[in-house]
Amino acid sequence: MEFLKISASLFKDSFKFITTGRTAYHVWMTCLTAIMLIGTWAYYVQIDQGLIVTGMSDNVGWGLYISNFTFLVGVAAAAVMLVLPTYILKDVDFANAVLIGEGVAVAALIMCMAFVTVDMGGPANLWHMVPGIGTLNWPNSMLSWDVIVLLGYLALNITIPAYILYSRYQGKKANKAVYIPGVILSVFWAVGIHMVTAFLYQGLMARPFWNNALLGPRFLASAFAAGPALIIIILGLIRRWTKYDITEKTIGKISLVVTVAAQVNLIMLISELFKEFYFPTHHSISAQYLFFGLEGHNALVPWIWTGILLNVVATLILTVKQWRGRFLNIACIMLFAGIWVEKGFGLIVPGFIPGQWGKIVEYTPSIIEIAITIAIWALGAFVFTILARVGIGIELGHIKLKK
Amino acid sequence: MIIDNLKKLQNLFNNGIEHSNSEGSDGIGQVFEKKVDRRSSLKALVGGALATTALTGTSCSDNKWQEYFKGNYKLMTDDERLATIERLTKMYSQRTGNKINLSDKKAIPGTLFGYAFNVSKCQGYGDCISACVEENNQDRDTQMQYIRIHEMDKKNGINFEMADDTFSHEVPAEGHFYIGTQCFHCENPPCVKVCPVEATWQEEDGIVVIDYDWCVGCRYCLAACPYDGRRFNWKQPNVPEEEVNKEQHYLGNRLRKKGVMEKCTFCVQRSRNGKNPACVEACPTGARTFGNILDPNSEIRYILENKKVFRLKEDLGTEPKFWYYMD
Amino acid sequence: MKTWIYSIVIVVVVLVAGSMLSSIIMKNQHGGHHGVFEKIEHTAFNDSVDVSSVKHLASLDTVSVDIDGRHFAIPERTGEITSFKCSECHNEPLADLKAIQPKIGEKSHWNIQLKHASDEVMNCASCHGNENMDELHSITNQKISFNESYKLCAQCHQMEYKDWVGGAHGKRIGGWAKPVVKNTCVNCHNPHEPGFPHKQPSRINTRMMEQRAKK
Repeated sequence: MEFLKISASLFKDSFKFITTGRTAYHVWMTCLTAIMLIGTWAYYVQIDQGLIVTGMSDNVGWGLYISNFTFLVGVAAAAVMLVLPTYILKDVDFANAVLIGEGVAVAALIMCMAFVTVDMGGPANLWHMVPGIGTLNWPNSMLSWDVIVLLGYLALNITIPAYILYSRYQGKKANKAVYIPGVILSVFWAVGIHMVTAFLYQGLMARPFWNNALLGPRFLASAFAAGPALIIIILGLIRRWTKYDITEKTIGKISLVVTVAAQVNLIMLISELFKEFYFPTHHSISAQYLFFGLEGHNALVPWIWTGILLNVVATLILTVKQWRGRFLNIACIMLFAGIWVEKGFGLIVPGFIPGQWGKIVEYTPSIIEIAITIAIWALGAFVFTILARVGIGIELGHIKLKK
Repeated sequence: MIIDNLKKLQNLFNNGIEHSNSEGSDGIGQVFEKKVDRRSSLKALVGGALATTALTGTSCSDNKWQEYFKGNYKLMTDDERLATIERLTKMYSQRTGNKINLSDKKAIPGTLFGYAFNVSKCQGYGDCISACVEENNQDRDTQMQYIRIHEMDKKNGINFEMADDTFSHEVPAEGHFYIGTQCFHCENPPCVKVCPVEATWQEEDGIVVIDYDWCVGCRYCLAACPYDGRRFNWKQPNVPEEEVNKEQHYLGNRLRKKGVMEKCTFCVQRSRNGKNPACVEACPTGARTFGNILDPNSEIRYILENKKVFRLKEDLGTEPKFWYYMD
Repeated sequence: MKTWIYSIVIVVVVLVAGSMLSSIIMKNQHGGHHGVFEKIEHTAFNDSVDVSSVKHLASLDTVSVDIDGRHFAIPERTGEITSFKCSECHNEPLADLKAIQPKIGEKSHWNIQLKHASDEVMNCASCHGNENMDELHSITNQKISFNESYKLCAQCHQMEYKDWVGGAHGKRIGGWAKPVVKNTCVNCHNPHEPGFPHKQPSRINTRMMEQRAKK
């Protein structure tokens, strides 16, 4: 009863807090809402006419939606890079950033679920996955594993910060005995969600581009580069726009994580390129299509090379200490964009090209697909803004329980 | 419901007198049986439409809800299966006025179906593709075809990358040969393994089937199949009413909807009745053989034991039940 | 000292556990690949499979055939030939007819073209040169009924014939179930012009052509 009253009060106060702010904030939220409305209309068109309004086909069965899903699972998993030092290594410097990291994780997970839902041919049938009323093909289908681990990770990343903020809202200290076990679990779980997502593709022997042992580890490396890179940008914005204290030291430490992860990612890229091109076999043909084009089909070639260049330059900047200090933000943006290309449609689309009998059908996303994709990113930004504002509000005492 | 009746009204005005070929069980047939002029037909139609809506309007949406909430076909009891067949048959006749013969015949015990393709015999005619499309009620708008015929140059040998499956010239073309592919009904099917909701599975007679109403449309099976066996309904499939094959099986050629997967089912509506799949029946050169590989005296067993058979992508371990051989 | 003892004990335990685990794994490996053929070997075939091709045969008249232990039926032929029996018009054997009219076949049977091997090795008389025009004849001058015309084809096409008897050549009628009824040679191959025609494909997939086109 007490819990319900306090929660109700927390929601009320938070709602009041997030509906007020400066003009820039209102413009931001309005723009996001407008984009989401356009996306909703686009989704209606897709529901009405079917997925034929997208650029996907029997040859390229997954496109922009699943590409973004794959990338964002990595971003969500990367929150663990702040959780681990904060709670387990008890590094005080990370303490303020971890809340933001968990907010990013929640927003990214919501985006992931949105991307999967809009990709479904029959979203009204998704209840078929619920064991008991439906039939979940666990443990055979990696998709069944993915559903379980993503929902579990979302639950962890909502309940732990919620508990901590709930305590802070009341001016109390959160009980370590309650949240530390969950935190430890979430560290392993984060690695789990991304390996499982990688296994979705890694297990398909029909698609040799994905069917290699390095895909899972590569996912982890690129996730731990892209996720914290995004968090650095966001922390920079938070420093600018709020009074929430993020020290230079915190950002410095996170940037080290990004640097190492980006370097490992590059090493793995080199390993992949070597395996495909040292002695090209029939199995290398998708890599051939991606990097060099095939028979005049080369839609992805400019994208992948730009992505790799962004990655390489960003990694270089991060590696050199002086540059890392001076050009951190631009390096993070470049890295984020590069990995988005390389792990998003630079991974998913070439897996389908050429097809099983060597036929090449290229993929170009349609306007509907692009509109829905942008709308889901807007949704993520919207959710994150709310979560961050509430979290920071409670931490700074703007939102507190009135006795 | 109302829209259907309005459409009928429009048709009547445009085309004059129309005779429905329904059995008249729901009242529409009786309205149309007599020859009428436009004015009285309008009166009769509106009356009939109102009556039809009143009689069948509620049960129409009831059926839809029951269909939505039904479970996985694999787990249904015999009564539940009968019930869904009844609903589907009723909904079809309400929609079109025509009857379908929807079967749920189970696998015949002691059968395991296999298929053989004679590469020397195929002339690239494509009669198999045509027969398949007509037999299995595939979407005409997207020209969905389960079967692919790959034209290969004898100089290059069996090389799928260099083959052409969209040829439109006279066949057989000089210096070329033809190989057909479709779902191979693997004994170790990767599509079955990856489906998150068990909407696709292998039946006892070896046929890999899909419960179209259970599929969520995630297309994981499309990614997992190494043989380009699966097809997705990117839009609502359209088959002109007069071309619909009314002899249907729940797991086979009954009409599908948008957002679900489909594929070759070895014509389950035919093979479980002892008939050959449409492609086998249609091939004029006898390049296609079908039968029970458990029967030691079957043609398919003779081929497996006496001809130099091979399967495609053997190294993937899928154990397809589709063998190729040459004379 | 204690640390050393503990360390050695741990290593020994791990090594022993490792070898035990490996031997369990190795003992349980029962052969490599489980394929379709193994399934066939391990699945009992029930010969009284309750599905039959009879209902798909309509009122087809058939003739039983029994070759090398294989029993099947083929469509009856003599009843299908229009204007059978030939002897109702032709009283003289083909050889005599040809003596009278060298270019026999041009007047009647004008629509039959002989495109079957070269005329160095085959002509009308090769199959029809019997005294009795109602029957065919083999190389060894045995009389062969029109119902058994496959015996003639088998003279040169032994490989196709053997395959046909077994089921690797030709086509079933009425489905895959028993009883086995299949086309005989002349049901698919016009014996005078046995080759298969050239024609346009039955269905052209324009959408696939568009999808595959280079941009």
